[in-house]
Amino acid sequence: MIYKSILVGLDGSDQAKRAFATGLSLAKVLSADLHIAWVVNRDRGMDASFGVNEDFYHDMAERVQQKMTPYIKKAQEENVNVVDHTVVGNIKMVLTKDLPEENDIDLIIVGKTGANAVEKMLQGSHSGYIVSHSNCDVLVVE
Amino acid sequence: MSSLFRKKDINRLTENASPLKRTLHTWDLTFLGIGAIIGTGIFVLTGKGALTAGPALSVSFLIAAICCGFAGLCYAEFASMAPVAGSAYTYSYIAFGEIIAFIMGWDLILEYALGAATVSVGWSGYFVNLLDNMGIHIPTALTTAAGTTPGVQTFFNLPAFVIVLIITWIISVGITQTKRVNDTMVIIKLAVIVLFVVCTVWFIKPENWHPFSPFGLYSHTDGVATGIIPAASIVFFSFIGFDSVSSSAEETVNPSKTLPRGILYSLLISTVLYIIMTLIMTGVVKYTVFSKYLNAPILAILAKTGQTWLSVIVSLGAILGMTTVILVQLYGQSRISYSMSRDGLFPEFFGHVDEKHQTPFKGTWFFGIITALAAGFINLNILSELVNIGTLTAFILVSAGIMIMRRTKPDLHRGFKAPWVPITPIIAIAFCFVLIAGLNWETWLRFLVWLALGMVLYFGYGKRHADTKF
Repeated sequence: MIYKSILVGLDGSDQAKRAFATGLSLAKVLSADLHIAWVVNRDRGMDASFGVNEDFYHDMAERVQQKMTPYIKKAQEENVNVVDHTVVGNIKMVLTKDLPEENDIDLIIVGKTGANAVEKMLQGSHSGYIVSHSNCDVLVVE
Repeated sequence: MSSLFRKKDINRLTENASPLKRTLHTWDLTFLGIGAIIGTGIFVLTGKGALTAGPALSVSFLIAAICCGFAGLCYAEFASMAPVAGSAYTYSYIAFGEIIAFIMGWDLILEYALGAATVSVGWSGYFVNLLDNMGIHIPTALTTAAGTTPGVQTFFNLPAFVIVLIITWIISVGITQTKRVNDTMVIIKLAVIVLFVVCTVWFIKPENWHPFSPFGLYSHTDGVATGIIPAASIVFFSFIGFDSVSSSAEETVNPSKTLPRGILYSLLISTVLYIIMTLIMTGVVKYTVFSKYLNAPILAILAKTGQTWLSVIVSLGAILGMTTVILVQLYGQSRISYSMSRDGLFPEFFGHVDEKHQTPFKGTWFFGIITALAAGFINLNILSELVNIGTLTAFILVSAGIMIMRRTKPDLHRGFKAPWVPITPIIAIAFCFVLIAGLNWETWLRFLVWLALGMVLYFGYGKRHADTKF
């Protein structure tokens, strides 16, 4: 199987940086498109009445957009076709369903979840969720 | 419900080009509304309401619901004016300019912070009961704030204080709950209410309903406002949250028809449930009994019927349901102060986003601690009345706002238009004033002090700093 569109999930963590490095080298070797996504997590269960949270999500998305720049640059330097996605949404849904379906992704690369024990108990691990719910191949980077 | 997981692209947010997908129908909105309404006020404030109006509390619910219905239509128009989703604060900024926006934001902070404090006091009431059933007893002095139960020496509400701090921590490190968890909690709350109704309706003794309205429409008893109207002013709290329906205009199919129906049905269904609950509660025990169960009124009924097993289930359901409400309100609180800080109306402290957790960490803790102290030291009566006066004031601003906007900016885009303007907003404002009048004068005074504090902050800080942001 030759991968044509690779999706890498970014969040600024070291694991995610390694996932990006892996994705970049794979995309280069396979001449695949590299999609990089940074999700501003928004759980609709937290939307108090009347959209009080909108400004915050909006600002976070703008900051993320800036943080993406070095990644885009790096990929372009390697002559890899890179598409960036800054998305406000539920991390799990965006990475397993929305983006892969919209962009015909055939490989998802994520870093191993950096969550601590409490966060895992309350939210579960993101990478674990992606592995078990995604319709395409998933590579979890240590 | 998959539409509720919809994501928003940054480009869409900034360009406001493509509108949201319209996927919500009448029953989606109705469920959304019922979910936002049901389950806090009824668990917490029915006792206080019953003490204020007797069995006629059922009529009070109806009055409060009518007020919310009209105000809800105005909210919906207000929310649909801006092409980007935002808060009442954001819209006020667009519609009326800085100072009204500041008042609105300051008002919302009061509503969310003390709303969370009120709910945590109720949470504590059910939690203490659950511990009692397990044989663990917290010293009575530490179970509720001073002056809650007449004749009982209390000092500090420790469980309420602790739960607010725990939830503040959860929010500050960036943990959130999904829509699914939220929906599950709604169903748990509804199930608990239905179970309660089915199990206790058999214990009604109609003689408890006489006299039906011991305090009339409006009176004073022992220096406190009593009667149907003051009770309506109190249980108004039970409907707070229904405006979440109003802000969905842009996601609604055929909003001019669907939205009023969604508001109407969700208010209707929750009002019917509330009235049934109230009639049962005032039918099983004499309304005066609630003075001993102020924080957790439903337990008064279950103590009378002797259904300890049911009181455990109800307490568990109430605790779970209320935890999510506190979570969402504290979260909304931190985001409102974030917005105000970003616009320069609040010090930068509140807008500082923590790199590690990606949350407004400092602001969350600042208001979290204040809320926890309020929950620990201030009794339920004072807290809930302040939340109500804050929310009613916001309703008045919004209702007046849409009337003004129809005059000043008639051509502005409106995703939804409230029917019968100006009659609808005038009725909404009139009802709000009636409900504010029903609150105790001490509440008016406290609210004025709060507003005065806000004005000091605005003229001392916000006014100057907001200039630099423009």
